[in-house]
Amino acid sequence: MFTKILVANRSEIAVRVIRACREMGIRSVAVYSEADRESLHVRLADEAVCIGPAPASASYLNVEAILSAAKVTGAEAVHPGYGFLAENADFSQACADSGLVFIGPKPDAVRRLGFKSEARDLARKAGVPIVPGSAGLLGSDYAAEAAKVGFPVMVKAAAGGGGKGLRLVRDPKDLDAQVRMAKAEAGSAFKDDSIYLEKFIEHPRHVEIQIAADTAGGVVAFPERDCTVQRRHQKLIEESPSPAVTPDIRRRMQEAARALAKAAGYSNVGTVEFLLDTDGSFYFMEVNTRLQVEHPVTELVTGLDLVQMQIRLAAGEKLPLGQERASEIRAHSIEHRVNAEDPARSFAPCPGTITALSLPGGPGVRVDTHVYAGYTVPSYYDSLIAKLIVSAPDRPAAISRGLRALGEFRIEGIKTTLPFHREVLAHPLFGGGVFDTGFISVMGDAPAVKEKQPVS
Amino acid sequence: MNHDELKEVMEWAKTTDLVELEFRRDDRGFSFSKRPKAPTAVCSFPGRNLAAVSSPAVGVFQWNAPGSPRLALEGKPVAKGTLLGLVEGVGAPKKVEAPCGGVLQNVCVDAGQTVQFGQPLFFIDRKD
Repeated sequence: MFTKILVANRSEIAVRVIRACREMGIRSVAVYSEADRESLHVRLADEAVCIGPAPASASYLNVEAILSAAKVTGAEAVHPGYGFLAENADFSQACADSGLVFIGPKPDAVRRLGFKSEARDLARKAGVPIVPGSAGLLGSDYAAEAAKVGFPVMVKAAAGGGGKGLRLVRDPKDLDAQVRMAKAEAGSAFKDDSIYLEKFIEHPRHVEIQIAADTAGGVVAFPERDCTVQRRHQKLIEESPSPAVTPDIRRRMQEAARALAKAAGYSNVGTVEFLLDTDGSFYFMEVNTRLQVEHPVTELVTGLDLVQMQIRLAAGEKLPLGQERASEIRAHSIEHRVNAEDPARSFAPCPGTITALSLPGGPGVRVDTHVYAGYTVPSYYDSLIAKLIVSAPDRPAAISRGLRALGEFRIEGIKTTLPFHREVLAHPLFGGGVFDTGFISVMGDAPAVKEKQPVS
Repeated sequence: MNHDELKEVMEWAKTTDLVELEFRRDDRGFSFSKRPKAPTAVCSFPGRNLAAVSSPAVGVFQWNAPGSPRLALEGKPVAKGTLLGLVEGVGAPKKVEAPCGGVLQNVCVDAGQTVQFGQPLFFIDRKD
């Protein structure tokens, strides 16, 4: 086992990794930018090294600075957290070249799964369902292709991005016009007018499977996490198990995720993301080759420590459990991402000084955070300041517990998404469990339950 | 009261938290005050203008490349751009250069020492 690990990240995830190290008797090295001098991770680590100025490009994304810090402190391994360099194959290669163990998958597996088209090919070969679509780029026979896929279809630019060249076609008679427009748009935006077709999933849920793999080829898949409550593709609430997943869907999803991990030669922890249709079909989206923000949900459902497992797997240990244990659902868990954003002003970032802070507690309540009263949220980085994760025997109990904990949670001095979370949890649609990724945009349309007064 | 006696009283007064003391006998006596007087003029500091030179990177400090002389000597004049040292980490060594001309007032680092980004290494009494 390692004796010293450098944590190449900031915020709550750096705190999370430092805690795992402390419990395992491993010394931790924090790195920080000049804007994070007062962050909790700097105080909690055994050692802390300033690696650069506030902009991430010069600090948390500065490979030379991070590797230099590892070298001067004698760290043997680097934990990348999530974001920043966590899914950068060149960084994990650079770690290996410097004689450091990168706590994550090997660079070649990251490269195989990092490119969406390659990951899709790999999924197809592994027998993992992908969103049905045209066989390659569209030619003049697009009408036949569209009929084969089935309406509604999405016409997409091959060189696409940013919603350009993206056309939804519900009615076959609109296809000609929409294909022409998509081609014209793609041609002017990307200088490449090639397009392809994909089935449009009308009411998708975002469901993902956490996996863990050792270097000997062992792979296990944990119960799913449902991340359907999103705003502009940003996850806000995650829960496990999903109210929309049956034991049969769960088993098939876990098998698909394990097959893909094996086909990719994957090791360490990762997440396979799927779109779940209302009929129970699911389609592969992408693989996140890192620890996820929402990993605590799985920890509370399974009673396992994924960060410690990650460190042990990186040190070459075998998986400590089999699929049967990994599948065990011991609780229902919900995570709320508390961001320094103002929900009343379309979630505009709201950095500033936290003048007073009171964290919730009691049974089944966990808070992962790097902030404290008097801490100033810097404006340079993302706005996540805390994660509230609750667990209870079942979903209704978890919702009640979540409402109770959110009522206790006070952050003063800055605006946060706490009121938004109370609104979602109290919403009948959320309570009913039947909703899709458009939940937030339709939230206002149904009558929300009047928010209870927080306990004084 | 003679001079020695007065001195004795003043020494004693210093050991107490007395702020003012007045003594009179037969129209003669003394008074003194420990209250600080309001400054009569804007305080002026000596004409010294120190510029800090901080480390540009994480690494191990060296005076110069192997076989090249140390140029940063305390009390010696330096010109803007004078090489004061090198920080060796992963990648090419990062140069520490004088940001201004002047006299190298303080050297706060030694060869072989581990330094982090932003750590003060030198102070230059600037002359420009």
